[in-house]
Amino acid sequence: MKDSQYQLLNYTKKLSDDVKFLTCPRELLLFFFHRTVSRLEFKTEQFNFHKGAESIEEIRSLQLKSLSWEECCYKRARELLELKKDHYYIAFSGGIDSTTMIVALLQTWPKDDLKRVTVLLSHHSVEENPSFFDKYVVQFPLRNFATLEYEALPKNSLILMGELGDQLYGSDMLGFGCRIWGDEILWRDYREATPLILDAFTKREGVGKIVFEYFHPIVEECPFPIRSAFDFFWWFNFTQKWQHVKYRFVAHRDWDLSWRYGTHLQHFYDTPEFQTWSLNNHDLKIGRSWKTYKDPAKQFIFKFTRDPAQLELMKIQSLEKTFVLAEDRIAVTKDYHPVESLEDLKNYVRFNN
Amino acid sequence: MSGSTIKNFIYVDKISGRVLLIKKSLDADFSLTLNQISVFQVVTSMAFPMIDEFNSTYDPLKGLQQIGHPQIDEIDRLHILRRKVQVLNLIQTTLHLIQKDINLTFRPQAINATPISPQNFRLYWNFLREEKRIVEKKIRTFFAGFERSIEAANDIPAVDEAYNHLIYNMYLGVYSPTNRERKGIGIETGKCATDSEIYW
Repeated sequence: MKDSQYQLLNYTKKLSDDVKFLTCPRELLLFFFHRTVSRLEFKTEQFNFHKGAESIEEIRSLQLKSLSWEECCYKRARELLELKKDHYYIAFSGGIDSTTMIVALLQTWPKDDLKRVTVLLSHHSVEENPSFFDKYVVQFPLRNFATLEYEALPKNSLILMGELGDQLYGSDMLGFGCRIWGDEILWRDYREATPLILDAFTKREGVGKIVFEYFHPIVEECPFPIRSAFDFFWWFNFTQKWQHVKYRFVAHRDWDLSWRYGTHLQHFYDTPEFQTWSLNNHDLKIGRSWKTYKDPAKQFIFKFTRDPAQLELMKIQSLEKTFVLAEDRIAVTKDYHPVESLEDLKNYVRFNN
Repeated sequence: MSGSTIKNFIYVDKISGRVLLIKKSLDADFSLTLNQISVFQVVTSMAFPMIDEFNSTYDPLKGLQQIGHPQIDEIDRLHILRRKVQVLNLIQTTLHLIQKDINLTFRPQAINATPISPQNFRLYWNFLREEKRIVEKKIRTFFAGFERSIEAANDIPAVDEAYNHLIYNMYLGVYSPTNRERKGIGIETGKCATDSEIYW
């Protein structure tokens, strides 16, 4: 059994050649497929990871009362206010998830408490959603997201990000598939459609079949039958990528590792209530077409803003992904220490059964 | 190309005077500040001729001249210097493209085309100006640091290692991933407000 001190919090993809010591199929070294951290009994990870998120079984065993999307947003906004931080820094990318976050705050926080909010953004946040910026974001102090690299935040601050919204709803790889095959790919048998979509996404024929076969056993643990490509990609994202996405903020070398998840940074969607919503409301996440993806979130925004442009928002990159000249660390340990070399990384390899 | 001017960057080994490399450019600046290399920029209407392997010297007064082959013990040193220039040129090309993207993103026509109300436009403008300043400073700092690391490299594998580490671990992509065409931003509509205030 591997020494429990050798546990990672986050691992960032390296070149295939760099991680030849991994025993998984080579095809998994493409994109993020070897960065998964499974929240199921069936384990898929290549490294020993610290358990940084609830398992699916833990979420289900809470047997939480099923809240609507709107109720989840309001509850979360109130919880965050209860943390009584002096400063809240809200990362706004202009996309659906971060816009939802700000709408929730605007609808629940008293005016005096909103004065503690500063919005972190970049120029393309405005380009992505100019009407929302113009009407709502401008009322807050603005700070360029890039300044986090060199300017410390005041004490008792919390950064709030919109990560994990995608994991609740589905996967942007499906959008990729729709652009090639049309919306019908969403509803095709997942056993046929998933390898096709993966081949197209990775641009490597044959990769899809191998990756799919590796992850296929996860369908056994879904609380309802997986039938379509949409079903599978959501379940994959929700159960395999959740923890990686939660902690990937530590990946950049410029990120101050003394800033910890929970105390200094949280994701708006990281609650048992949101996860319960995702498990119980699979039918609401999308209509028949990709255009209707994340409709509950878009409707939530529209209800507040009455701005039709909000219904046209599309999935875009997270704010931190827009960094230019940013370098990733190899990995970060459970104690928030950087893994300095690939040789050191070998200590964290998990050998599958 | 008739009618255009070409910048020729001539990289010369300071010790021997031999030309390491000539880099042609219509647009980008390929100046370097490596200790062992002099860089001359000659602007002409046509490209400099191809040079043989280290068999030329360059002097601003005498110009490009042919000389004999370098000594055996000199060749390795010249190869290392040339590799340093090549690697730095590659990164300079990428940074030049990033800078072009920045210029495109922040040009007045593009900013004016973003639908921001008049009462908030100044706020938006100031925010963008600050972002431009931040990212351009980041580019300068980054390149200066990379140039120092290449300067310190003692052989070709070390030079290549520094370069490979960079391209496989750093985001060197485009500056603005927004699909500007989809959003109609920066499209020349002829309806822009006055661009007389340029603070950049």
